[in-house]
Amino acid sequence: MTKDNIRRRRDDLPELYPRRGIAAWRLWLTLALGSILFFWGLDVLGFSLQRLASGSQRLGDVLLMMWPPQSKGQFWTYLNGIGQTLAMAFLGTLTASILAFVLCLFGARNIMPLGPVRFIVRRSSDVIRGLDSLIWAIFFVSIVGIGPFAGVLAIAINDMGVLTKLFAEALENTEKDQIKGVRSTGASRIQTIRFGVLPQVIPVLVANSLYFLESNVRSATILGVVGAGGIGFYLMDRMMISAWREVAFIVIMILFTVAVIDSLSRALRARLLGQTTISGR
Amino acid sequence: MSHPLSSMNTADATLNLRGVSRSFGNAKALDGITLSVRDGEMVAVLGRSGAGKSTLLNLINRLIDPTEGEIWCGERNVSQLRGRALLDWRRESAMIFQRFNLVSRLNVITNVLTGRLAHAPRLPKLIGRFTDHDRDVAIDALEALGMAEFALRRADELSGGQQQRVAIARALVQQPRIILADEPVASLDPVNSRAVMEALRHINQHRGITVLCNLHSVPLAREYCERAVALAKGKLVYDGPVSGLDDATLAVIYGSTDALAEAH
Amino acid sequence: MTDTATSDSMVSAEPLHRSQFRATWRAHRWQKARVSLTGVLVLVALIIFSARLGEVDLAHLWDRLPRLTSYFGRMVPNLAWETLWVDLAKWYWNGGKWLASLWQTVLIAVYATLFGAALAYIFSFLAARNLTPAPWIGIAARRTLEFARTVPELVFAVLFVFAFGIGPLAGVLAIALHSFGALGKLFGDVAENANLDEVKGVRSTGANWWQTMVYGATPQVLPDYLSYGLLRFEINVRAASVLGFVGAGGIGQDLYGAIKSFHHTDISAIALMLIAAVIAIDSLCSWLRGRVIGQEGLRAL
Ligand SMILES: Nc1ncnc2c1ncn2[C@@H]1O[C@H](COP(=O)(O)OP(=O)(O)OP(=O)(O)O)[C@@H](O)[C@H]1O
Ligand SMILES: [Mg+2]
Repeated sequence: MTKDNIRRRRDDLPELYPRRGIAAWRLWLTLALGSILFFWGLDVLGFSLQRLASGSQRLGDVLLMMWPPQSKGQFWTYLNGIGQTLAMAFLGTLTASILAFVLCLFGARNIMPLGPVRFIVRRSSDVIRGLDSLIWAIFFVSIVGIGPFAGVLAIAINDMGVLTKLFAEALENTEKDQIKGVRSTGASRIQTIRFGVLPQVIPVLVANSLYFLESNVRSATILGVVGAGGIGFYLMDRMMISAWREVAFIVIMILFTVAVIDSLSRALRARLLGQTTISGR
Repeated sequence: MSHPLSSMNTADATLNLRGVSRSFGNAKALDGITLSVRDGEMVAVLGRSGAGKSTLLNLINRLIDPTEGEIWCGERNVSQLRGRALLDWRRESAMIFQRFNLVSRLNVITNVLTGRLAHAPRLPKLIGRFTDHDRDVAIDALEALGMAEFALRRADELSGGQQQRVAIARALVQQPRIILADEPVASLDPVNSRAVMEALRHINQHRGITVLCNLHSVPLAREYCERAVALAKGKLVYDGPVSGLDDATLAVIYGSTDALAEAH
Repeated sequence: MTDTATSDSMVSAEPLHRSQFRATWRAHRWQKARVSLTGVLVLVALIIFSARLGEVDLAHLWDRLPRLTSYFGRMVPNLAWETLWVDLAKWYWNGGKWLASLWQTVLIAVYATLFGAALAYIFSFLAARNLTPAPWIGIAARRTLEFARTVPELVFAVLFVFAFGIGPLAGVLAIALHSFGALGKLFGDVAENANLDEVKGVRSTGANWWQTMVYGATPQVLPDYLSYGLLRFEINVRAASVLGFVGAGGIGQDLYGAIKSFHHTDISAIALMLIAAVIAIDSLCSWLRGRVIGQEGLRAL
């Protein structure tokens, strides 16, 4: 093929070649503006090479100080903290699931015909979800005092918000055919919900609750930071006094616990639901 | 001949397999294959399903490694290649697949351009900056296969025959010395099958590229190739001119007469 | 499960004699009842045990309920219709500062999600069993991701505040590290389900591993990655809102201050801003997700 041929084709099929002229300029301009914006943001957030370098060095020092992890004879105290954390996650998730199960009936279009009621349920769950569980934890600490009970309440409230929304969506995504089938037998509205809707959504609800239990174990580990009980209290306390070996020990305990809970809940999910994947998420 | 798509290498490129075996677990998919393919040949590889045809081509391209034996191309021990040299070898031995193996979410021209990934410069290609020369070559290949008008269509919007021609274009822009075609027409209707086989023959005859072509159909092999090799249960059971594929030989290759009928 | 054997025999080919059927049915019922009874007992035992550990005290909660109402009561600002603007201005007396903090919170979330997702993108291919360049790299990558997602953001945040000093820098790094772990896992699962034929096609051309990932795998996984990334961004906005509790920037600092010093109307002012921002970002993200999914017509999610 001759050079001439090639030139002609580049003119014929410009869309197959990189942009040239003004179009190319636009691309470069966008790129340039984008990177200016990006670096400006980094600057606003206080990023600088020098800070990153010196910080990494300090981080390295801390990591070295963590070795070897030690419990300093506090193993049973920490284990109790882990136990509290698990209890908080379990009770919180359970309460949240029960509350959400009731509330979602009022938030699902195919069950609650009154729009305003649905609206109130949906919006208040949005508001609750808008605040992190740690904020709820501070709030409940000031109501019921320091201790794991505040943590239970914080998890229960926060997850009630999330689960209500998920459950209501699961309800609305149910198969119409099955519901019609039940209704066609002359079932009342309540009966239709009981035999046509619930059997379809219960697996989704259970799967989601278990999934949240898993993730709540993780989040419950830090509620102690604001005094809401659990292992987080000791973790934060040891960090504040720079007892890095104990910090490392606690972190390892947390990693271990989370791994155990994860595999337990995976096994339970498989048993209860038979290998189905979580739908509705 | 200085066609932009012909390979520039003039060194000896005879392909030699020496006692090549490949096992998956305990099962031997290929068992002591010794085979020599001269530069510019067009060879049909026959055998019933599971005989090891795909394994053979994957081994030559080094998508998988042999468990025993060596593969040589001219003076190069292909089975020993590592790193950049291995990638260069894959570029030189282009593959075409039964199910086309195009990236369905990319458009046709980008799919063809992936055949240029092994050509320098490699780094800018990570962010989609192919050179104009790459694009020239790609469009040239598409035009040669009558697919230029589809350049901006998504690959999965094309028919099977069109996709296979795009795949051939991708193989061509690699500027290979060998094309390894793994049942290129098995998912195509008769008309498209012939078009694809014609294209392969054309490439073989006019660009001097060696073609190794797995085929299920003996008539196609007879029509398009001079030479056939046949595998049965991982062993080489025939190597000779297609004219030598008489009923007795086919019975050996395909085992039962049922399978034989199927192959006709 | 244990009762499948009996239920199988019920549907088996030969019609059963009626009494036989009744016996089987009863056995089946009994079995089922026993399983659920044990389940309930275990659950009750767990609840009682956890309630002891968790120091649950409903009577105490009942006693303190008045506090809850008075707490909320004090959070409600003095707003009168005639002096609405003045009252509003008084309520949001520090509005400019809070708005800046809120903006910083969002910025922390944006950068943390970007960094975390970029790193997770790379690690997902290293961690995916079918794409990893070498098995040991896959194992190392999966362990790294596991560690990063198990340690809570706040723990990383305290550590980074210690190392990098007070401010949003520590917050970005902490959330980025945790998101890296969480997204890396999700991305890796997506990548493991990628169509290997397409990857093989690119690999056979002599493309190196990176090129193969970019051209063979990325087009398949990108819509799912984007969708998960947006979901993570929503989560990160919430996470960034509490980083201030440990000095890692964002609006949490202001909120914590207000709570500690019992400035009740400040609490409600800040919380309302935060909730509004979170809801706005959530709806924006779900709109974007809808567009990503709609355009690409993808399967998962
Ligand atoms: N990745 C693999 N893992 C395990 N066994 C494999 C693998 N690839 C191929 N095999 C086995 O090796 C043998 C040869 O397979 P191969 O795909 O080469 O056959 P083929 O001749 O191409 O068959 P077909 O005509 O059906 O494509 C078969 O028994 C197959 O099961
Ligand atoms: Mg095959």
